[in-house]
Amino acid sequence: MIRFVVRRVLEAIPLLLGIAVLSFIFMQLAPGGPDTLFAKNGRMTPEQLANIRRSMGLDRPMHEQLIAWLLNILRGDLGLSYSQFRPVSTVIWEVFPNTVLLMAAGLLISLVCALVFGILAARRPYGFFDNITSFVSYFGLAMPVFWFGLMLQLLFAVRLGWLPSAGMHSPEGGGFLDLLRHLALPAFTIAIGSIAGWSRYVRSSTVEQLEQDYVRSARSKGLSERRVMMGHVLRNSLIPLVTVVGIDVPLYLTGAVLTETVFSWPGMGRLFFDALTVRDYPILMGTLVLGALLIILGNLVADLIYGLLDPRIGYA
Amino acid sequence: MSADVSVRTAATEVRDPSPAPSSLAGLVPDLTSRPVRSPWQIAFGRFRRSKLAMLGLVIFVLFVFLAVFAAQIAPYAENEIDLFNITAQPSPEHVLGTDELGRDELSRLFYGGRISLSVGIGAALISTLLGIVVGAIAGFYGGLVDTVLMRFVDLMLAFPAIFLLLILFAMYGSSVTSVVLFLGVFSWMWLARVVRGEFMSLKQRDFVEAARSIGVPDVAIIRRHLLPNVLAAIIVATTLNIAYSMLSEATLSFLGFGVPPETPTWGNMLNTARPYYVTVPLLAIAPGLTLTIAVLAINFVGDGLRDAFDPRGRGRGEGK
Amino acid sequence: MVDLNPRPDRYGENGPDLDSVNGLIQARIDGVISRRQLMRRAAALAIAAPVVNVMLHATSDMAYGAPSQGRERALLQAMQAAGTSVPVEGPTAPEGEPKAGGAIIAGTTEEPDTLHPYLSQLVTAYDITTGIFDGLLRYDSTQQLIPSLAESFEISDDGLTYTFTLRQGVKFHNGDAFGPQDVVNSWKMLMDKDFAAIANLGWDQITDIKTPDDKTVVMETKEVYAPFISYVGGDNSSVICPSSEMAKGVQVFKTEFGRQRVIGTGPVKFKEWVPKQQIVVEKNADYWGTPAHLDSVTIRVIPDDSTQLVQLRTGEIQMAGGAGAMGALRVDEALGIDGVTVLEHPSPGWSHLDLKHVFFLRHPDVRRALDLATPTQDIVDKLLKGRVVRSMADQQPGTWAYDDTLEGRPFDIEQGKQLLAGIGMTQDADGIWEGKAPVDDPMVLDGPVKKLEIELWGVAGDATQQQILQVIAQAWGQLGVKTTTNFQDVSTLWGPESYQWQPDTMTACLYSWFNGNDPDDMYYWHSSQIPADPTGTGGNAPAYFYHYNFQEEIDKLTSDGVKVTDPEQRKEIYAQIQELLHDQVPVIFLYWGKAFPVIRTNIGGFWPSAFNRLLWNVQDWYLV
Repeated sequence: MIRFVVRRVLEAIPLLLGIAVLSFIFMQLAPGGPDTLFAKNGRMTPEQLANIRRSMGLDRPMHEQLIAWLLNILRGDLGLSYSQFRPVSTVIWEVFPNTVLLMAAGLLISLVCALVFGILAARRPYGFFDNITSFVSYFGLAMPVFWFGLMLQLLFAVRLGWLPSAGMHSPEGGGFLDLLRHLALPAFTIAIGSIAGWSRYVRSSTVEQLEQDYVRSARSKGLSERRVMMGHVLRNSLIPLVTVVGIDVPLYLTGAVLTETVFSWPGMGRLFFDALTVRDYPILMGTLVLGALLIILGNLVADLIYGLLDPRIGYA
Repeated sequence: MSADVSVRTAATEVRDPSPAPSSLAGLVPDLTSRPVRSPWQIAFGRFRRSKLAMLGLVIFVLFVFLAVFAAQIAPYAENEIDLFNITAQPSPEHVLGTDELGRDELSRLFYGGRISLSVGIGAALISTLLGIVVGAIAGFYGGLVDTVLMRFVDLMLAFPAIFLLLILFAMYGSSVTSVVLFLGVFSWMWLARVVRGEFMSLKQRDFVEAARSIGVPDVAIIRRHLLPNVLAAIIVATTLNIAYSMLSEATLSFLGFGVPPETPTWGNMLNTARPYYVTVPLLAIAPGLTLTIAVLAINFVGDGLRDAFDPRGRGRGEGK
Repeated sequence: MVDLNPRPDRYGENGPDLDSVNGLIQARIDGVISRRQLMRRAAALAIAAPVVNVMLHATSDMAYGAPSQGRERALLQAMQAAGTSVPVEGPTAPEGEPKAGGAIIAGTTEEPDTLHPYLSQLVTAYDITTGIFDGLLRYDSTQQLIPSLAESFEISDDGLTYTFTLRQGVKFHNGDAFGPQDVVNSWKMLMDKDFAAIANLGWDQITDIKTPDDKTVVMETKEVYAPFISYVGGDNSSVICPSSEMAKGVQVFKTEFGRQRVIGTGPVKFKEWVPKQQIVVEKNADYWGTPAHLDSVTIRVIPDDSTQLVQLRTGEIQMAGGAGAMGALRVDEALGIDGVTVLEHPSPGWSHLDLKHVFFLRHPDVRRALDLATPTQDIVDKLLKGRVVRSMADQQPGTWAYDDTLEGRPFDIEQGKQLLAGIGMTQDADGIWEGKAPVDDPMVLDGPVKKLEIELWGVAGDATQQQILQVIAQAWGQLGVKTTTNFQDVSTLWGPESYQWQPDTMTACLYSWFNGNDPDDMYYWHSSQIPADPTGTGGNAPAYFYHYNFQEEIDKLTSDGVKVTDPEQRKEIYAQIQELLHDQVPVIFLYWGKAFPVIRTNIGGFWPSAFNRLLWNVQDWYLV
């Protein structure tokens, strides 16, 4: 088990390194550069431009910059932001928890909804409830995330005025309830796609479980339907779901970026767009690497949990 | 990108961590036992019996028809600007009203379908081609080639695609061509894995060994003996990839980094409608709903195909 | 000494001193002599032209002619009921009793990069720092310089030495006393190569600063530099920072100041910055002037202006001003919100199509034909709902240099076609014009045959620009021009690989320039301002490959314009320039923009303008 974990972690390192190198190359190939904006500032003198380039390290040869970037990453240092003059890691860590909160809230909603809908639908396959959830799921999968968010915003924030339209906190603060009110729409937006996909998933694995012998014997022992479901079926349906969740991390990341733009949620997506506007390369590279890290971690966790829950999988 | 339909379904297909052959392998022996109808006929029969799949197909064909003949059907030209009639309410002249430049919303939906569908189909084809090539090479040759290619697939899968695509489009600008190209280039990895898995198991079979022993060239073996066996999986993946690429195009365009704004696509229409979504909600609702229905239809078709090709599967996103 | 507070009553029997540089400046500030009298008198005293320019900058009301009446508190009419925006003529003064205290939440579109006044590149940052920090002087909303940390200043007769008398008893927000050494240290920091400030114009002219006593700084400059007072005195990035912070070292001052600690002398203090969400400033009770009425102002980051309007509607924010002010396209929606006032003030920015002078675009008749085929008036009236002002050339209506005799070309595609036919071009089967492109002489079409294909470029993500370009593309198509549109972000648009440096395509780029205080427009047209290479500085990129066909003429006129000091003569020169530009159409002039701040009607003392940033007079804001 430990050897398996260690091996998987070791395998992830060259992957990350590759991502880091590729990120750097993409940025270097980009037309224009961070100093283009400075140069076209009508009040910039050539001397100042040279000073700025030097202070950013842009006057050094390419390979030196690359090596410095890689060495710094290994130390957890993502460099200095061009626009904010602060360490990129600080800048990212300020907003990263907000994105994680949004993703986690979305995850929680999807998991709960997916399990409830999936199991309910599985109890009578091709019954009324199953058909309804099936159709709604198809819709959920087909809708563009951002559009769904806009529609929610239009309905609940603009027309009905029940929930705040954007942001994470009210200006004056307002505690946990305030946060929940702000979180509701974006979290549901980010969750919709996975509710749809996962509930179908839970449904089919539950249907499969219900046909198994142990369910029959449990039922024949006179256990209530509820106990059968909660005690046996649920746990076994969870196994495949957990792995899908791990694999869907990139999906969630994308969803978070889109949701953040629609609801002005102060997270990584917003940081990314602001950095893109001012060509803050260190921040852009930092978000790329951190995003990749999340995805790799998601896969790793999925693999590990899959093994943990399903004794048939060995750790070779 | 976006609600990643194809990744989701593909993910479920390769869910089993051991490189076990997926559904298709089991199909082969079945075929020999039923000599009367070809496997394609069987699949088609199953497909036709699926109501949702047929509904999807009908809608999809209708959308394609509207897109192809947009110039003949649409009441107005795609960029017919009328500054005297900006954001007009629906009326007999403009069934869905007009947009921020006074262009007929309904006509733009028709024309938008052209680009949206072409981007979807184009990107899916590129993705399929890359997926087949990489998967086939890795699966057929194995060894070092396989290791290198699969590491590369891992690398591509680990990249947060949304960030990368946005950076690329922001820096290099975007056109319909570049959107098709980049979307294709960043979505072939799952198919490559599937194809590789199939090839790995198929190449152990006797018929492959036999072909090899009599000196049939590799390319011919791949083309004649291996590819036909994964064709069904490829068709399903490509279909679902069309939907995925359409959603991705819409996402990029909505964020302002996709197809140039004067070209109507459903995503672009959503982008330009955004400032008006409070005052003229129809401008945002119409293209979003159209896109949803189109994607829905394609997903129906894709799932229908999967069920048809794979009699043991229980359909709708389950692979195990 | 020059006292920046105008007091026309200060003169006794002797009348104003009109024999010295500073006497003249003082008299001008007090409004007892006109701008023209100042120039005449200066000419009589044989004061060198550059020094006169210095004097004019110091009294700087150039953009709006006569001293403004705006200092009087003007009551806002209840025009809102009529559903129109209200031109800003003075601070807002809603009916009702001003309340003590209170808080305002303002929306802005972009999060500041940093609140470091020496490092920020974003106007959203200056919107805030202008309330936290003070400079030696400050621009009010009538473009007058008013006293701030300096109570007065004096310019030596040779125009090389500036003496500022500093205000006494001023304290930084951290309790440090403000003194001459802070000015010296700020200058040193702005010039520090390792610090690399974003802007140090004016400050780089200083050779030495002396501090003879604790309320005087004497700045020696290397040469006479007209905008010195304007930049060093009144610029948003020329504020004074506390010595104690700068003493912590360049790196600490660079990475920590402006984020963790933001310390100035202004009417509001930095309280907190919640990343990507909001920045809060609160009242500085120890302010050297009248302390603020409000307890705090919160600036919320709301990246999307339709969301901003939603929040104005729901009351989540009470103001959208500064960089968060609305553009022309959003005004209707803003006017539909109850309980808000939509203000309006001009912007010195002119939108135009930059024509790259290659191939046919070098020929004036082709450019005239394109101008005729551009529905400028429709764009102004219909698309932008009359909320911008059509421009004929590069001087802003309402400024003294503006030539009001010019009339825009009509939208007349037929006339455009005649012009093209008149120079020997023909239409191909698709109706696209083609002909021999000029080789050497732009007026002689003798080169290889080429079609009239023009790339239209614009800034990505700007809805207004995208709409305008689509309208123009369609109209030019009717003329018989093949167009393609491209949208890029600004840094790519200006980058070394952008459209401007590709010699083989004709391009037209929608862009805005923002005029300064003086009508001087050499930056846009003069051959010396053609960038030496794609990374060079200078605003005359259209003439990068080929000079304008009227380059000599415009070179002479624009350089005469900054040499002559007589206002009538100057006005005449700029009128000639505008006529020439209008006739030759080096770029296609479109319109002058306006800004539309939106506030809830109970906010008083709010007085926005194009000359200063959002919080410039935050101490005067109040609620009723």
